[in-house]
Amino acid sequence: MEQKIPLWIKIALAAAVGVGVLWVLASIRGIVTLVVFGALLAYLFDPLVNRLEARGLGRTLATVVVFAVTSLVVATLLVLFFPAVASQAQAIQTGFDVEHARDVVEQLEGVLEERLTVIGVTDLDLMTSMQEFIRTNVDDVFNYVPGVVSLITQLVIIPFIMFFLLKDGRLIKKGFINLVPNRYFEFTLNVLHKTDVQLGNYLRGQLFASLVVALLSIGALWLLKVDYFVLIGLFAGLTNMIPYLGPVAGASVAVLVSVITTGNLATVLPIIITFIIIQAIDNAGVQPLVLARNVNLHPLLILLTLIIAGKFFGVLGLLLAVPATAVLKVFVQETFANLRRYRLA
Amino acid sequence: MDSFWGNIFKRQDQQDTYTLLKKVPLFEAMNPREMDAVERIMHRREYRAGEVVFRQGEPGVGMYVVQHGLVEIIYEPSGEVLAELRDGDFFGEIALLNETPRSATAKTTTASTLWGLFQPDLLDLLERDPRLGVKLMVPLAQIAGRRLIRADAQMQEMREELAHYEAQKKPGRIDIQDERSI
Repeated sequence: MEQKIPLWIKIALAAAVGVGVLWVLASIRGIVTLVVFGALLAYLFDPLVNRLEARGLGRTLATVVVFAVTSLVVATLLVLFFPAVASQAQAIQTGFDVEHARDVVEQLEGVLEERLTVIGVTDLDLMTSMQEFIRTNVDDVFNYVPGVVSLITQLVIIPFIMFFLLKDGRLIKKGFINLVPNRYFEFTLNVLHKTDVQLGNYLRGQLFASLVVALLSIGALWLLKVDYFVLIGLFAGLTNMIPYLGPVAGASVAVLVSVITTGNLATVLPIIITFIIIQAIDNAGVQPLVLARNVNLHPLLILLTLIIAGKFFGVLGLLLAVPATAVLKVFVQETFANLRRYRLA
Repeated sequence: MDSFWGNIFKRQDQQDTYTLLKKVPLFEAMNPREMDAVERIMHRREYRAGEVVFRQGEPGVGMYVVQHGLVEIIYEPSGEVLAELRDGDFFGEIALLNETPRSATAKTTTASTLWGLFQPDLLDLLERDPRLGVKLMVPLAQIAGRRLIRADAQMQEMREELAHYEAQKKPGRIDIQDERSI
């Protein structure tokens, strides 16, 4: 009954389908980013809804309760922190305290010019080029952030996607599995389940670790009297999802901001030590508790992912790049492992 | 009007499924509401005649109930047919407890409709509705327990047979030794 299709045809077909899917995804990348974001949020809140269901609530009611409580918490946080975050963001956009910055840069310029005369450099004019750099780059970042109208659209669409994936995720999954041919049915079921188990722990763990890092950073930077501590702390928390590069990025921004705003290098060492301590707490205390060990991503893979995601999906893409790659990696890993076990390869 | 007829047929279909699943020992103690919740996590699959449901040696993830049709359980590589399953019969239920390799191949001999219940969905149900999960797990454990008792009895029988065989063989062995000594 079963016809044998040569392996090369299977590979060619799979490659063609893969390229096609990527092309479609790239051309509707705006929507894809929103769906991925909504799906990740739904994934994070799923255990909460399950727990409420176990207490006797229906799926819809449990979803509504989780959704309402989350909205309330987010709204409260926004009311509490938004003025601080907005004013800090605005302060960055309008420019740093030029006086302090000028002092530091002039000191640095003096030292550099003294050393570099050997190779013929006499006038660096670092201040102008730095101001130019900061202005264009900060503008770039803010240009990435969507305008008010699309921001509101996204604020509506993302929770909408999250709500329905939480409520009907199981039905959608079942509908998808029903489409799978009989020969691949048990295999698909097994791959989806194994992927689900690994990713659940990984994604929820990552979020928890990021939250801990963000809170610790905000607290520590506030104690060290670093300006824009809320923003830098949130940034450190978010970048913590990116292994290797993330913690360095968080610390670098804090050091840079501190040097430019205070005009001296005295806080550099305390900030670096603080970030090392926070990383130690994260690595020794938080991560072993929450992370699935087998979702290790190679640094090179992370770098490539960030470049591609940044190019195609902007700032939001950068944020989602690592979790999305983890999803893909676990899925591919499980697919290949099961292909052998089900004698499909 | 369509949705009216659709609902009536759906109800009839649901009734059929309910009657079918109630025959399976796993679902005997369930009321219609619970049965409905279980049915929602089950997968209805249509097979052509001669289609493989699962192969011997593949990881088992769950059980099947035959709604219509005929399924053969085949031991490979000899091709010996171990059982022939009809409407209302079920197979593969131990895979609900543990992901073990399938001990035989299941293949349809006529066009068949099967209902599948799988471990991931059962575990998910246990988490969401522990009371219902337990109602499913207890009969499953009982089935496994009964199998174990039967296997124990069979093993005991075989041990006795072996002991009996060895006892009969013993004088023979002496004879051989005697022959050798001669």
